[in-house]
Amino acid sequence: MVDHARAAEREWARHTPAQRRGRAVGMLLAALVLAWAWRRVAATTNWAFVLDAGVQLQDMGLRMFPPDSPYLVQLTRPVIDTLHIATLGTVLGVLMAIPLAFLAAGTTTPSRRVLRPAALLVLVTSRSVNSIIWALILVVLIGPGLLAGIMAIALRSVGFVGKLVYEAIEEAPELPVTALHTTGAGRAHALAFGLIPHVQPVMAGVSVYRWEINIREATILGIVGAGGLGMALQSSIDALAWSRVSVILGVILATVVVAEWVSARVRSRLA
Amino acid sequence: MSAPDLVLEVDGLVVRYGDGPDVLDDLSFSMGPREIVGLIGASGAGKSTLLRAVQRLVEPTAGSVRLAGTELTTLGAGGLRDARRHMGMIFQEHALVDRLTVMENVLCGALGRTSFWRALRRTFDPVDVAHAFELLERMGLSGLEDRRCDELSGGQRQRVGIARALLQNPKLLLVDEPTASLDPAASARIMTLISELCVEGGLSALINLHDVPLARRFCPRILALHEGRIAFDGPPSELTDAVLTEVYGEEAVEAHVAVGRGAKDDHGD
Amino acid sequence: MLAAFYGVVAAWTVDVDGARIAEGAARAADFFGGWLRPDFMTRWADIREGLVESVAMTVVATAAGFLLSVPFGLGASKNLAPGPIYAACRGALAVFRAFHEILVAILFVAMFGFGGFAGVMTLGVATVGFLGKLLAEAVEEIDPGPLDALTAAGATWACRIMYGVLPQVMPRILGLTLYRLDINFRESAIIGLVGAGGIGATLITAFARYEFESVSAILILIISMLFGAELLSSRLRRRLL
Repeated sequence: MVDHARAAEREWARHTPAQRRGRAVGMLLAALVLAWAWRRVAATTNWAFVLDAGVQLQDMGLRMFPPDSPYLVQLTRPVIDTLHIATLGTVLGVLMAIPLAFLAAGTTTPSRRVLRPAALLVLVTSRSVNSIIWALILVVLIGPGLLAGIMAIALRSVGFVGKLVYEAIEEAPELPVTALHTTGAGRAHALAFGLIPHVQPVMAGVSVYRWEINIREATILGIVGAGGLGMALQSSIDALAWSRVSVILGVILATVVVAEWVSARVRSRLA
Repeated sequence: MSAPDLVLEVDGLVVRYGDGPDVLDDLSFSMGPREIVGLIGASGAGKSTLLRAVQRLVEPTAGSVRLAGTELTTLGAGGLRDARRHMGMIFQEHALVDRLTVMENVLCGALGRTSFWRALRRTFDPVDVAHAFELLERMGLSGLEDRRCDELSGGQRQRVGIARALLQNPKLLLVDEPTASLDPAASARIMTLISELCVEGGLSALINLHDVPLARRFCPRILALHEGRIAFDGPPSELTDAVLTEVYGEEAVEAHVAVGRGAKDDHGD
Repeated sequence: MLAAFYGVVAAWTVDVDGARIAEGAARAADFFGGWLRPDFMTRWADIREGLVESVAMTVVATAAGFLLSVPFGLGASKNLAPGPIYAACRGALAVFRAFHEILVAILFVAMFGFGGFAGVMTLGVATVGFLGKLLAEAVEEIDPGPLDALTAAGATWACRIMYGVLPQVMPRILGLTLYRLDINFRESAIIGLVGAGGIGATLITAFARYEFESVSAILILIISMLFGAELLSSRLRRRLL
């Protein structure tokens, strides 16, 4: 039978003392970092502004509503521009991404030492720099307008699409390609028939997904001058035409929602 | 008649989902202390639903359920929690928290009487901890208290679930298909264990079983459900083939009777 | 085919101003020259301040965002939350995610003034939206068994969540939080462009002054920090799982 005296003395703890110390130290460190970060932010904060934020919001709200509906017509061109920026940018980005993906994938790269790291570097750089920053750079280089926006979107999309595609390439089964090699097919043929059919759905799906994200980004690139709705927004804000700002925000929201819906439909058709 | 020492009284219980048919239709029965009742019936007859309705995991549509005199169907959230502490439920799929250790899972049985902060910091009442160790030893799981539950075998997980229910110090055990995926020897072992635990702890138990011979062997009283109603309530000796045919249908009875004859010859365990 | 037609029409309607590009080429030389000579020193004080502020904003926003995403996420889970709360939380999370961070930043700068506080609010809102939605999705996929068992044992609502829900979803959510830390740092670099603090503000000032050497220095720093952050977070995430 069970020894009650012995059982009553037994203690249980979820973590060993060593683990508890480790956890305590970890939490203390995290708390310290958080405390430092908060103080740093609070140091540059104008608390008077924070406190009257509610008033500011109310003020803006009053000025934004009722929205300036007639202005809606003037937004047709910017909306189309935004669409162009996103779509052409995505196409350009995908066209650049696909060869890069093949160079970056361990299984298909012709040169592991040189080309692969180079391709990976290009992809990571593209991913690290936000499209707005690309847009900023391009506006300086080639002037404001749609082209800057298109290129900015393209440059950002290369990394996103490229990464997902090269990961798909690396995860694709080797057997079909090997099998095709044994039938005497050249390298390109083997890839075309053994690998591409496998990777194609991913490429298509990722491209459409990136297009959807790009619509969202294209709507605001105009703030730095790269065309589209963002430019209308910036000029309305500068002119303090808040009732127009609310119209533009509504259009932006609608555009993004429609794009999301379209993207979801297309992607489910692809799957 | 409501005797003061009845553990469970079910009166006119009806459970219906939406506009569908009645899953349980005007059920009435009662259980006294130290009673082990086997619940049998075809799949879909409402056995699991009955267990869940007693716990109010499924809300009764009508009727009354009384646990040791307390009416359960009208309790508010706090009262229901208190009442549930006196009923231990053992689930068919064990329902353990996989990422937590065996000890943490067993101690879940004490959560009803542990404050949030103690539960968060895992500093349970030493009495509960000692009891948990005792139960683990009784289940043959000593030494496993710091293992994660997803590292255990099916049989071990089931026993953790049993320990968890017993830690509550319940008056009533509601057991849902304890032998569902077990072979005959293991089934007999688990039923023996449950019977012993009930006797040791003075508990009553309502056990949902699909295996009729097993129910006959271990349960002094059998309740048979057919299409949501009680088709039989009495000792196994009175459970005739006629009743079984009504409950299960003809071909099934042939199979059951055959297995039953085989089981009666099996003295080993 | 349709796509190709669209491409041609669209490209034709886009204004490609040759003269502007030629002008830009000259500036490009200037710019790329600056790129090849990154200057970390001249504006080092500003750069350091900008980076420190970006890091601080990221930390506070991610921590606060994580903490707040728990109630919103639990409230947006169909299997846990009663009807009205579910609708409210789902709605709130959708609103948080609806607008691009730049637009949110503009709003918060107008409300709270320039500086890091607006940035923290912007990133915080984005974090709550991101993590809250993913948490709700994870909670809706949990095994209901353990939760039922805890209900049957008479545990309070809080204990039920703590033992029955969180252990099943926390590892994934912590991983996602680390990922979000990465994203937030990336975004902290750009919301500064509209005045919400961080290295983005330093960047745009350098840009406005045509100080391309500083611009390239800042961009190099941002990119290397993001490299490092991504490496760190993916390693930590692998440890967690």
